[in-house]
Amino acid sequence: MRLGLFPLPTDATRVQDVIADAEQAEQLGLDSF
Amino acid sequence: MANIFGLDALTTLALAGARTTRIELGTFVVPTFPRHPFAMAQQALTVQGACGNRLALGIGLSHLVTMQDRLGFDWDHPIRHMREYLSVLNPLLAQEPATFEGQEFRVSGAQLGVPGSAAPPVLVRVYSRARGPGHHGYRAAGGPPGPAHRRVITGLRHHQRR
Repeated sequence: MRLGLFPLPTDATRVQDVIADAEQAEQLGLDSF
Repeated sequence: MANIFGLDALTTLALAGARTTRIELGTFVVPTFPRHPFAMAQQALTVQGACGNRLALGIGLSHLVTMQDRLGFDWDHPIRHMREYLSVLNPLLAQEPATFEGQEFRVSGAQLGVPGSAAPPVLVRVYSRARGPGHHGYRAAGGPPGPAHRRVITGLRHHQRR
């Protein structure tokens, strides 16, 4: 996971990992994913 | 979220949208050639239903090498393709009747009905000939700008510097 780094908010390649990243991004207070 | 040779971004964001409640969910370039605008609009509105209207839809032509050489699509008129694509996509996203007679797309009275889903903001990846090769960015094609707009634009600028 590398939330917050550009150009991609996530480098996950599996569905469950992307979902987990999105959940964590929201928990961290980010406004977009 | 990227949409290149791996996961389908819209499908994945629909699932992520069901597990989150607040955060805006954005795609980078979802290529237009492999998806008829009816299919794109239908999928985007379904994602909107899954995520409570938090999608920012990024679309684009992708590249000649990928779309023409690898996948066999005709790249002779990419700008015309995108112009016509948006002419069909935008009314469908608004759940209004779409009728269009072009050289790339022809639809007559097509319409979608997805109660509760709003038209997402659409970002179109564009290339700036005036600014020289390699300069590209996103141009909003509809809907109000949101956080994901800023993220993809900032991300693209970062990408250009690399």
